[in-house]
Amino acid sequence: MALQILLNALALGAAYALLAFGFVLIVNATSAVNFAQGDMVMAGGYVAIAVASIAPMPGIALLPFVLVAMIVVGLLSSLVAYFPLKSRPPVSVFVSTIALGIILQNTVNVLAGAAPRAAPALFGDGQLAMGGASIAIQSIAVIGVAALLIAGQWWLFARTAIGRALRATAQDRVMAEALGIRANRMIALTFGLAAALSGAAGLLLANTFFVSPSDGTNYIIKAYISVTIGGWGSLTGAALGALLVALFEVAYPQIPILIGLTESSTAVTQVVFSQTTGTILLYVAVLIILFVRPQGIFGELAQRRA
Amino acid sequence: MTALLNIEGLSARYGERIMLHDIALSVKAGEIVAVLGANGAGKTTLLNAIMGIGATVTGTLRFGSTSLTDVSTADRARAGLGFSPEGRRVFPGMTVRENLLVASRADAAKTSRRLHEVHALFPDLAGKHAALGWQLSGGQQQMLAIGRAMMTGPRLLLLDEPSLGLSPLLAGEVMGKIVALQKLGVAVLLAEQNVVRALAIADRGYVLELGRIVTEGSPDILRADRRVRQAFLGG
Repeated sequence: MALQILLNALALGAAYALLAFGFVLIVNATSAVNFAQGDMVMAGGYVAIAVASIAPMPGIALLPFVLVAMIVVGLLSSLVAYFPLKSRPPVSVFVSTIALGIILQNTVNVLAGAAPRAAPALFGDGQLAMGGASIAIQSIAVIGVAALLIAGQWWLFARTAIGRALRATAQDRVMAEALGIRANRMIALTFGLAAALSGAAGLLLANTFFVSPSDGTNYIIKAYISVTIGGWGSLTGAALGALLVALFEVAYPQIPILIGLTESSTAVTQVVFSQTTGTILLYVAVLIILFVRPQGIFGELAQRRA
Repeated sequence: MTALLNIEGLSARYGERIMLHDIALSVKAGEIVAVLGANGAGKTTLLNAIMGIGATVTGTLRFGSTSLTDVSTADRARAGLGFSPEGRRVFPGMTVRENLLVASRADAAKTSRRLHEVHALFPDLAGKHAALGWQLSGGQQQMLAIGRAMMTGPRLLLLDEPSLGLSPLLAGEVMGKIVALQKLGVAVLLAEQNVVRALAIADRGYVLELGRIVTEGSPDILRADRRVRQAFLGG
């Protein structure tokens, strides 16, 4: 049971990490917060559902479609919500991305309806017997696919010329241009990559948790909390923050089971270890981090990067 | 010899504030040309204007046969203008090697040759290739900023205050490297407050005061100029 809970938390944390990475990539590249990033998760889920409705296939086969479609959505979002306003005060981009998110939500609502939908599982809905426990194949697959995407993103940024140009643009756009890097193209590509990662998170989440057009708002708060905990600008911090959010959501309500209180659980235990209390404690933890370490856990590294 | 960089009637302003007035300046291939002046004279604004950074600029800027009017900063760099800015601005979260590689737009063979040239010129950098930009000393960051500009394969290097903040020993070393760059066939436009050091290596120089060129000429002419002597050479 403990293994199943841990894997479920890891799977959710891995998907949140993809979303948080997308959020951080754009913050680093533009110093702007993209409030439509949560809606990219929702859009990725719906791209998977739309493709699967035309040609039924397992979720893993849908992944390339989701990545390509979301890169296009990300590029277009940069053209609509960022570039026309990049010389204006930051609040303009802030508002334009909120507007873009609302447009995406309502467009999907018109096209697909408001009812929650589920995307196909990555490899199937079965269970796997491991050490006496029954583990959902989907949980393991989500962790594996998210790990591959994170590794791919690391390889792109650390090992390729275009990755170096993306990082240089994020660290000092003017200097990058003075070295011949076409910074606007790099920023547009960053929007594309960020949308692809978030869209992939949408595919990974939309099987277990379903997806509906208004989910983006919930996801952007998760991303915001993850990077606040981890440290603005830090990818490692974003991953750690995402994992912490998932642990509070998934593992915290299961503590009575993990410590064997199931049989003797009282009303008080049920309240203390409810999902609602877990949410309260998560936000208390966020406040404590803001008070004690406002730069987040990895914020110092981010300062040096910036 | 035809000028590599030719500037005529250049003015630059930030909003209503005019920073440079009617600048005329040229750099020939293979020359070291110094732009001298006190803090706030307009040296950095001039170099930034040549790169297309910051101020609103009017006037004529030609690099080789190309007019730089309406040319983006990135395309100026691709045309052969290398830039080492004031404050170095190395990429702090990237290694020395990545700082150098990110500046090259050439194929693998040419990039490798340029990397070899930079390491030959700045052996310190070769030994620090895995260090992050922010971990370097000021002198090492200066070497990296110049080396990074070299990786773009420039015909003309714009160096803004390369000796600023360095010890006299290191500043002298950096000036020696600039002469070595000239020997590699690269022209240099050097903005410097340290007039003695700059005139020791320059072929020609211009003196800026409050955004205007007040005198120009060979190092000997400038050393003999009353204003230069009074302002920079202690009488």
